[in-house]
Amino acid sequence: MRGHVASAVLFVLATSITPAAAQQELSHPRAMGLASANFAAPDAASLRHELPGGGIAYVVRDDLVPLVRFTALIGAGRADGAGAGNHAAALRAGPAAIAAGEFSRTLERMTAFYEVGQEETETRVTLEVPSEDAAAGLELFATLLRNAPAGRVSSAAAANAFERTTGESGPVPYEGSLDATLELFKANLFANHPYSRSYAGDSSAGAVAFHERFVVPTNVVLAVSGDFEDGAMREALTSAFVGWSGPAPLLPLHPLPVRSAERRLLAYRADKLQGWVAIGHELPEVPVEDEAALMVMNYVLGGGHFDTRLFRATRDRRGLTNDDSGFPEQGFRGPGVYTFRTYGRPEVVRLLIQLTFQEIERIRAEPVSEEELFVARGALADGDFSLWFRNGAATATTYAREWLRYRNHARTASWQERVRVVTADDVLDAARRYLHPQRMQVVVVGPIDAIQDAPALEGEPILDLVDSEHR
Amino acid sequence: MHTQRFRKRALIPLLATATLLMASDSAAAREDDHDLGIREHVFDNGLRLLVLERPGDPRVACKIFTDMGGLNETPGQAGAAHYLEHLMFKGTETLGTTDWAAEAPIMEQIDEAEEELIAALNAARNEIAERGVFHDYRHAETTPRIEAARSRIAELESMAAPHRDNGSMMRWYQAFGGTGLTATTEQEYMKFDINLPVERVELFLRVEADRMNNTVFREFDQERMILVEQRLGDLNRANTPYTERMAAISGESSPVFWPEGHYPDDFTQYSRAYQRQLYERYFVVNNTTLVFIGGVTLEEMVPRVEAYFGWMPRAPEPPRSEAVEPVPMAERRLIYRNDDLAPRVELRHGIPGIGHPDRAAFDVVAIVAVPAIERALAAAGLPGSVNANMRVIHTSRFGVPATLNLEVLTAAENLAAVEATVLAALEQLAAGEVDGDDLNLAKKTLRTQWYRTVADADALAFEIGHFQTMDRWQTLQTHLQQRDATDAAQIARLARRYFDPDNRVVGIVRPRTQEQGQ
Repeated sequence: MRGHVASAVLFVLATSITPAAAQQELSHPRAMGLASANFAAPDAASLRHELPGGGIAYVVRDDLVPLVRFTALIGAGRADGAGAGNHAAALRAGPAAIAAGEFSRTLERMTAFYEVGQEETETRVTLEVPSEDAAAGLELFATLLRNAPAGRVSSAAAANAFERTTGESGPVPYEGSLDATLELFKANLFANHPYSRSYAGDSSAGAVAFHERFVVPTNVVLAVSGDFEDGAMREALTSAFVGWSGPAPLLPLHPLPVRSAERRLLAYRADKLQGWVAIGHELPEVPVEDEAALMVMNYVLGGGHFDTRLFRATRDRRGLTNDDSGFPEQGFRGPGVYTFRTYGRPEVVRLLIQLTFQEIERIRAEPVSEEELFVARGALADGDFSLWFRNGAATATTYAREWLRYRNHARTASWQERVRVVTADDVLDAARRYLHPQRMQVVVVGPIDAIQDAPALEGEPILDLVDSEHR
Repeated sequence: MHTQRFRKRALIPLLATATLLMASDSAAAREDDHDLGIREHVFDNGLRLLVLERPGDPRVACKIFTDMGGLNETPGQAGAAHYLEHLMFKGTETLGTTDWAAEAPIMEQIDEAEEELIAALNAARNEIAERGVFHDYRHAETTPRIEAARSRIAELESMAAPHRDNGSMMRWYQAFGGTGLTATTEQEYMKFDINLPVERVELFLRVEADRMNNTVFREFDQERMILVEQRLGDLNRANTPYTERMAAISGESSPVFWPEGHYPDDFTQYSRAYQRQLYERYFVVNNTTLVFIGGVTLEEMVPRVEAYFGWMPRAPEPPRSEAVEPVPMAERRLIYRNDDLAPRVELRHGIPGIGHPDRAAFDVVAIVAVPAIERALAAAGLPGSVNANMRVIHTSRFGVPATLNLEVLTAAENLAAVEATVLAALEQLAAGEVDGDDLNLAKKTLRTQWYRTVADADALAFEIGHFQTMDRWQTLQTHLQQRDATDAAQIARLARRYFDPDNRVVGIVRPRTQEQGQ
């Protein structure tokens, strides 16, 4: 090791420099005496601003750069009724009050960032503009929310309302990718469920009706951040939304999907060099008392970082894949999804599936170690938590989303403490409560024949691929 | 004004004016001259420390840049720098092992076994060369000697495995609140980064000083396969073969134009010995820049950095790439027939890298060229969407050019007409016919993009370190100022000088069914 060479050089030089400087400090990180992280989230109440008509905005001044961001979180999404997809597409095209094409030109002239995202039960609209355009941006933003969007969007555009990975040739979903695999996974898991509602037949009138029903002050929370005078922005927000009203909507609760009694395997052919895999099932509503243990459990098992059990088993020790991670996605007013996602060359796909199941079974069978707990608690309490508040935009959006869903801030206020007291038993309980490998759905997309024909590695895989469906 | 046009259609009165919303000490005023307030300290051993202080920030974006990358690879070892980055996550003598005393002798035996493997491969290769079989110089066939050496390495790796503590380099960052842990290797740099609570910034110094001196190349072949996986991911995209061939014909001699995903054959050639050579040559303190942005000061950081890096001796100046692109002498063309890609016409022109006085204005040129081409296409009745990008943005220090790429995705069957229309639009730029609104909007677009970078400490720390590896960190401010000052006359001068046929690569993508030469 070169360190040894350097040490020898330093030994020779030791008489001319202080002994303390000559020694490389190699204490173990746990023995370094690192101070506690003192991060505390900003006070939500002081950021809160009440709008006319019962709306709420979180206003965070962040003057690092001359930009202003407006985000609206709407408490309705694709599962909540006909017109949802067309509504999202129409929001992208701009309000009816502005001529076609003028909206996009206005955004271009502002050099704005504009994005509409829609999930099962929520829709998000974000507009970010330079602070010199803040007033015009707010006006545009308020117009978007206060007025039904234009009815000029085709049902084809609505069907494409979800941003998806596309091939090079057009809007056909990219046939070999993790995104496409996940889409297929959800389509199968939620077959005949409101989550899989088709956009076909969505009408322009449906978009207008969706807007009038759901985009009302009590069902929208704003997150506003950037370089402005706090008082002026609050006044401007009040002015922009004065007179905005509408009855509070009755929001549907969506049921769990029909659960399979046994493991399901669905294989889709794609002429690619790798196979993509999504494994999992629905995630029921997670009560607040389970939330921290679930997240700690997932962090240890497959928390989307480089030091998970899945990563070590599939990547570090065997070189099978670039990634194998777990994603517990909580739903709101309906079920969420808990998936494990991986991919690899055809000859290793079956082994990847096998190893993923092995690690899922292991975390359900035996407690995690104290070191795993220490790492996960630190990462979630001191790391991830601070990201929720890493700047003005993140802070405003975190609080806005929490208010939209829960009408309080108890979850963010208690998160760090809840994580820090999670025990190995809590993790074991969470694994047994929220992971059910015996009835997981497995979706494989890729060169199915090559995957099936690959010689078994490390013993026979527990799954025998059945080419059950073709694209 | 665009807002005036919009207001005619607005449904609500505009009660808040821009003036009222703007903070009295607005960020816009502070950002005018792009002076970020970066502070520098260079240690006696050559280590460079850059700190951008953000008082009160509870976090610190930490990055360590090494002035090496793909440019420093030798032919036959494409991708070795990226591979080294992967290996440098495998731990040291104190992190990543459960018992270094037991593991170390096995690692030494692995190195010896690899020496034998390399000798066996060379012997087999020489034998083939003597028979005049040039096309198989890699010698994929095995021999009993090669097989024995490989088996020995596999056996030793199995013996070492129980002593390994996978993930350790990452684990302790995460345990102490680290986020955004990643690493990147490009042609001219390698960086490792983490964002830490301000109270724990010393952990970065502990881990990175260790990584710089004591990396152990564990799980060598497993990691080789991870690179293969990443490469397969690239190749799954339909446009990869096209973009790589365009890169390959854009340059003639410099490794900067080697395929980004590397040549698959080269994966099989990586050896521990070569990796160690790269590691020991380039990962030296006087080839390193530390960047911190957040709630720390330069005064706080200097003694801390001194404690962890100050003992390291200045090393011989690492060698630089000797490859310099020759002066362009001829137009080059790629006709790529493929039914999976949208038909397109792409024009690439060589431009200088960061550090050259002409470079900054090309950021503006790339943006103003788009509407100019769009209007020309529309006037000609040709459908198409226009993209501009600079796929290779690098330094002038090694004589390596970048390229400005203008691409039209089109449904037009007559691609020759599209190409002629794009060229005519570029000639108009060269003639000084730059639309004033386009120019102002381009500069506003660049400023807005830059503000988004500044708002993100991790992204900004990257830009600072990247400019240091491309040229000097001070060039960043100059670059931003030059972009702001770009005018129509300068664009015309650059267009005349650089949009020259001999400096051009043309890419045509057409369906296989379409006649060549159309």
